[in-house]
Amino acid sequence: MSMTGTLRVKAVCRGEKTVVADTYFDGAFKVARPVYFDEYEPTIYSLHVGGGYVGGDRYHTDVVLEENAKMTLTTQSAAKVYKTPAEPVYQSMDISLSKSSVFAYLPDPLIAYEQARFMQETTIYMEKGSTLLYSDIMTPGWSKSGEPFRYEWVRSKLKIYEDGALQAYDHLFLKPDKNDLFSPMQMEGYTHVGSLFIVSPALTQWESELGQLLERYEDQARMGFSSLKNGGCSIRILANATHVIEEILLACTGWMREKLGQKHVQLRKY
Amino acid sequence: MINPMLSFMQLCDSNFPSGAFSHSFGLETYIFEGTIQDAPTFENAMRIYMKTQVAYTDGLACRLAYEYIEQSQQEKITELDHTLYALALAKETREGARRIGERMAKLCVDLYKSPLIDSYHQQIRRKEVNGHPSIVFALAAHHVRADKEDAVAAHIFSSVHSLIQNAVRAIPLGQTDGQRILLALQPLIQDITIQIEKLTEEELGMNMPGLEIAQMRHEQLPVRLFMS
Repeated sequence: MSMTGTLRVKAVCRGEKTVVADTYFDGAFKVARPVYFDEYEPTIYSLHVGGGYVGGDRYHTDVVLEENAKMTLTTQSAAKVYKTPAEPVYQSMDISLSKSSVFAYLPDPLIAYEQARFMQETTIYMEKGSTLLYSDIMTPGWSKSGEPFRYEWVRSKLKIYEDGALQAYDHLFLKPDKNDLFSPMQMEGYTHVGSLFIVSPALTQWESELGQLLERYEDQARMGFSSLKNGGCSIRILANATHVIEEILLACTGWMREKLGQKHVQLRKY
Repeated sequence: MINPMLSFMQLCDSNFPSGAFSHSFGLETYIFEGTIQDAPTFENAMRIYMKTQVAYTDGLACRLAYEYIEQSQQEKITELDHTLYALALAKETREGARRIGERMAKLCVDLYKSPLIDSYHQQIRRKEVNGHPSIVFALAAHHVRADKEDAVAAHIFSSVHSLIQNAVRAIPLGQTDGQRILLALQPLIQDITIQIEKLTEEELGMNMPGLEIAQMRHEQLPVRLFMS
């Protein structure tokens, strides 16, 4: 099946510096030249040239980090999913991280508009000793009626393998018309969902530190965190505004970057 | 000859020592926070819990496990076990299911002469699998020659039954309230059983963020009756 957008990025470590050795993009996906906020570590901004996702669109992204490579992938703006009358939008991403590599995926939110159906599948293959920071924000778009949750459904699968063994499988399904999304156990009265997964050898004895860090946001969001099977960390956030989730995610990624001996990076420039 | 119905009565009995009485799977967070405080709020929460967690995870897992047993696909059971373990992002919930699964497997090894249950229990002991109650329930139901749909319905019943028993102690509710809710949820158990029959493997583990956050926050509750 033909792809609406394809993106492939490979990062390799040359001496102390990571360079983006191989970039390929096609269709609606483009990437700008890597930006070096830190002199050794590139940040890549991907963009969607079509303005938004529509029904039947299919996207695929491949990310490879070779040994010791460090890279951040983000987006230039939110992914807007419009009405999908016939076919849902399907997006997949495969990430492969070699030993001692450090990869951060910190995209802008997904905005699902009225009657949108969106399916995303992400598979991450890590070698033990590599570091992953993976975040995600899902939000309802504006609808004519003014009510939130007019999208049809948003479904997201995230699988994290370490040395071939499945460590975490996050399978989110948000479907407004079926049950009352605002009720307990579902959205708890909130509209926006944020997630962050961290797997890293630098992550040890982290629970109380993270608990204290998140406590500052207790009045703005409902949050939970727990340790994964391999000692990694999953954080789930419910809030009513994107900027709240972004601020929490930024605090968490900043906290983690410190552990990794990396500088704090402010990706958003607006 | 083992009777399937009488076997279900044994497996679903609150005296069946699976350890389920020690776990609330996140419900205690709602009780602590006051979201669940009486019979109506509890019944409403149970309905949502059943339509999400029970339908897409426990119930569907039981159906799939039963089918893999019928098709002699042992490696698929192993894979299902790993998937179920990875799906529980809250550590206490993940460990809770593992403990109950392990205990049930051990009990069923003692109760039944089933090579399949023996082999799953051996796999748990060798740490090749984690153990999960939905898989053990399917193995036991298949061994006593129960129908697949009955197995799924009975498994849902047993999860619902033990959560109600726990709520009666924790909220607290009267025993009669508990029994009334159990009866009121019977049609939903049947609806979910029918719905599960139509689901695909791809839908396993679909969940909502709220319950998961409650399961995660349980770790930090200052006072706890339950381990999850």
